[in-house]
Amino acid sequence: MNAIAPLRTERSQTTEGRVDYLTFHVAGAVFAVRAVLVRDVLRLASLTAVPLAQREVAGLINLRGHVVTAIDLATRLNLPSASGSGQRMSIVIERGNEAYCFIVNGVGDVIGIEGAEIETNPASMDQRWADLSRGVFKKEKDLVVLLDIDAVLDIRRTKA
Amino acid sequence: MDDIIQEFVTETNESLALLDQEMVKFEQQPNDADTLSRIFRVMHTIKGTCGFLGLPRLEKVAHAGEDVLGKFRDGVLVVSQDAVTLILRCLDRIREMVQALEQTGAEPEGEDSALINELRAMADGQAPAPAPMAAAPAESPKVVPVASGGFPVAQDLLDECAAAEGAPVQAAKAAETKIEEPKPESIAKPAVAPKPAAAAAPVERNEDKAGAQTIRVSVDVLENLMTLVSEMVLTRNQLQQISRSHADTPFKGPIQRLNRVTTDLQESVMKTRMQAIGHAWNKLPRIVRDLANELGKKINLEMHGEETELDRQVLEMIRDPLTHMVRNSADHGLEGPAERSASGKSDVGTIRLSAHHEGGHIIITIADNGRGLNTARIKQKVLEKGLATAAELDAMEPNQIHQFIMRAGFSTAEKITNVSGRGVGMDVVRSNIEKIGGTVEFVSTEGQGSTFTIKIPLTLAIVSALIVESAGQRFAVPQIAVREVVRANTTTGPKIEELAGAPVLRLRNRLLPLVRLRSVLALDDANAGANVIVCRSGNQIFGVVVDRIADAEEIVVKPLNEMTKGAGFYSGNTILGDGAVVLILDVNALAGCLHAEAQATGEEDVVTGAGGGSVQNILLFRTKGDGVKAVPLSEVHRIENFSMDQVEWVQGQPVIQYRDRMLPLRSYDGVSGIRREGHQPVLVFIRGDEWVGLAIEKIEDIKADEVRIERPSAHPGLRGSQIVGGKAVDYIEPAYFVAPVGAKPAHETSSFQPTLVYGEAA
Repeated sequence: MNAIAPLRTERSQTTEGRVDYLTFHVAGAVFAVRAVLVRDVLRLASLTAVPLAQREVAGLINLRGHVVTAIDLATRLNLPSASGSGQRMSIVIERGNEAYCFIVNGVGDVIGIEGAEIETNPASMDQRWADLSRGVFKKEKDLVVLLDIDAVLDIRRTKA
Repeated sequence: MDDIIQEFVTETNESLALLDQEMVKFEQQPNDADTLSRIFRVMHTIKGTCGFLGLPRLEKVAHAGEDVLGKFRDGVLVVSQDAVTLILRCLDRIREMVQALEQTGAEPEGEDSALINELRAMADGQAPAPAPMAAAPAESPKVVPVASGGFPVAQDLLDECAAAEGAPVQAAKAAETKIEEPKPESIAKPAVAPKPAAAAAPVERNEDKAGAQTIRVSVDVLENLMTLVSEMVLTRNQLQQISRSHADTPFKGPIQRLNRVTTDLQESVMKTRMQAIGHAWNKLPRIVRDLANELGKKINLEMHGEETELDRQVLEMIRDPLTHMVRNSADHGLEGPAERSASGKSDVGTIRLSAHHEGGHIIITIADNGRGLNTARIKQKVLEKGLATAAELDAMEPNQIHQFIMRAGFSTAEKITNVSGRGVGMDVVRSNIEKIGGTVEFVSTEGQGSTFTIKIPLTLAIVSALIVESAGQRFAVPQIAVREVVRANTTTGPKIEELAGAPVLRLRNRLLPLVRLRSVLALDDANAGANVIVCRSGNQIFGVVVDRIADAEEIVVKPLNEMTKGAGFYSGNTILGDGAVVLILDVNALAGCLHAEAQATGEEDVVTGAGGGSVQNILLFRTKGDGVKAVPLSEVHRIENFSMDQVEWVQGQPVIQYRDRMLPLRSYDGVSGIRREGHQPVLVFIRGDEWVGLAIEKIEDIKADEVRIERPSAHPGLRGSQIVGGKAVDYIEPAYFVAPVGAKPAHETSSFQPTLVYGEAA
């Protein structure tokens, strides 16, 4: 994971040429993140809770000797928390020197999306989602929300 | 950079550090020929090597310095403070140039003629037979051989110096000193040097062969090695855990061997990182000397235990705090000679620095015999900064007031000569030391000096920790903070008692405030848990209640990230042998939580009576007027420390709002003992629906004794007297003080006439 593009490059890339996205679903809704940011997809193993941390922080996991902060995407996206409902998956994202892991209900596949195919957020979109989304993409019957990783990880910003 | 220059820089830096120390020693004992010889030899080596490496500027300065030293040696120049200062300045200049050389690889541009002239003037000016030409000071040592009454100087040293005067020989000598280096190439290198004669310097000397036993290794290599070993230790722990769960596995033997080897390896790698603490101290004699001169004080710096070893990383991190504290002692702690004589002390102040190992930690103490902390000044400053109110300060012991110097914001900025009191940046010192898991404590006696004690771990990479469990979750507690572990609530052991929600533990006649890990971390509300980890944070000792002590393990501390840091109670995380991630608790933060709780309940040393049996806890206190009063603690509902500005008067009675009701206040003799400002301890009594607060002067003690009134009292407010803990005390009658608020018209209560409510009295 040597090339983590800063946000600006990320944006410019999405508007020209095809970019791979990894789709996943959380509480029935479908989301996607740029595949190049994803380091690992794992079955969620044991999680160490961090008492008194923010709600979105699900805990810490041991990823091959590295401690990674796990974020409950359902809580982050204001969806009913997926805890207890079957096997959960985790998507490990690397940003800067730190790794984070998103807890999701299931992982879909990698799809290539042209910049032109990305539509802006519909005006009716939930404000909380709109803050975290960089656009939507229609995939067959599903509407895929493309997540802005930086916004998702900036938990303090939306906390207040 | 050229290898040879690099070597020169490293060696010269070491020599300079040595010279600083030697010069200060020399100033104190000018007759010590050995010291002088050593100084001379080092300076001479620097000069010689510079000439040979083609560093003219350095050479000139070193040469001028050497001349002065030569005069000392020959006894033609009296060793004076000015002269030593000049030599030290010369060393500083050399140091600057060497630093520049290290950074750029070339000698920096600059003008040293002023310094050189001064050095020459020093060398010539006071010589009995001044050399006719100042431009040729190098000749002067020849003119004056061993002066009568001078220092006895080893003949070989003299020969060496005389030989050094001749330029070609000088190069030879330079090459000769190079032989001391471990690398054999350096002997071959001189061939490149401008003077080829140097290569032909087959000097045999009594070089100790120990030189070849050490090599220089880059710190990065060691750091990397340490990281790898840390990971290896973790993996080993994991393997052991797995092997333990399989009764019969062929891996048992190899894992055992791996375990032993890993432990040895870890120890060996740690050893490579160990350095004597003297390395952090070697600049101090010079600093203290300069400060003493500047401030016109006489200071003697004693150092003990320089050889005590600790991790290089830790050493680096305490270097600055230590320097700061020694500087503080010299600047603010010690008095001037006149003041010292006036107070009957020797006019030379002493700063004693010592270090020793103690159970995986290193203890450093910095003690001075100066004036101690000025309590009044600190009070004044605390008030100025608004850190506490005057009333709060009045209630504090001097020792508690002194602790303010460690508070953030106590000193605003570092002033160069801050004579207004101790405490320049002590909060910075403390936070730096706490950052590496250490603690600072101090005691100070006015007029007798202060002693600071620093306790730091030997290494940071791997720490031993206690693994505790609360509400099914494990946490690590660094063992440096743990004093002992107490199992409470057993039939014989101490009990966790509650006072209005604030848990306390009576441990060996001390009241220990507690925090419940479950409630602090909001794990759940159950008051479960009976294991108390007695911790120390600063001067505060408190207990953390956990469910269970799971294990003790060596852990590798990993830093927290931004998101988990926010919770505030953790100092890091780690991966245990079984692969689980656990959070490392920050004991200092837990202590802060305790503080909030103690404030909420008002009093720190509060305990409820155990009640049962004939022996009870008896609270001893003082009221206005004389004599010690007593009351069985079981009859006291709460002990509060009220802020008396909140007292309101209704119907001529003082009341305070307390738990959504009006609490009438009394003092033993009516209302005159109620303070009008500041804080006052108040005993809250309840009789049926009536509450009263009895304002007292001071809580004396809590004693366990049988209540047996020996002399009944005629006074309605007193039950009688008894000897408790060797003191005669009067039992008060709480019921006497409980009077219904507003039950009587105002005019009746204006003169204090409490209603007598007997009957319920125990």
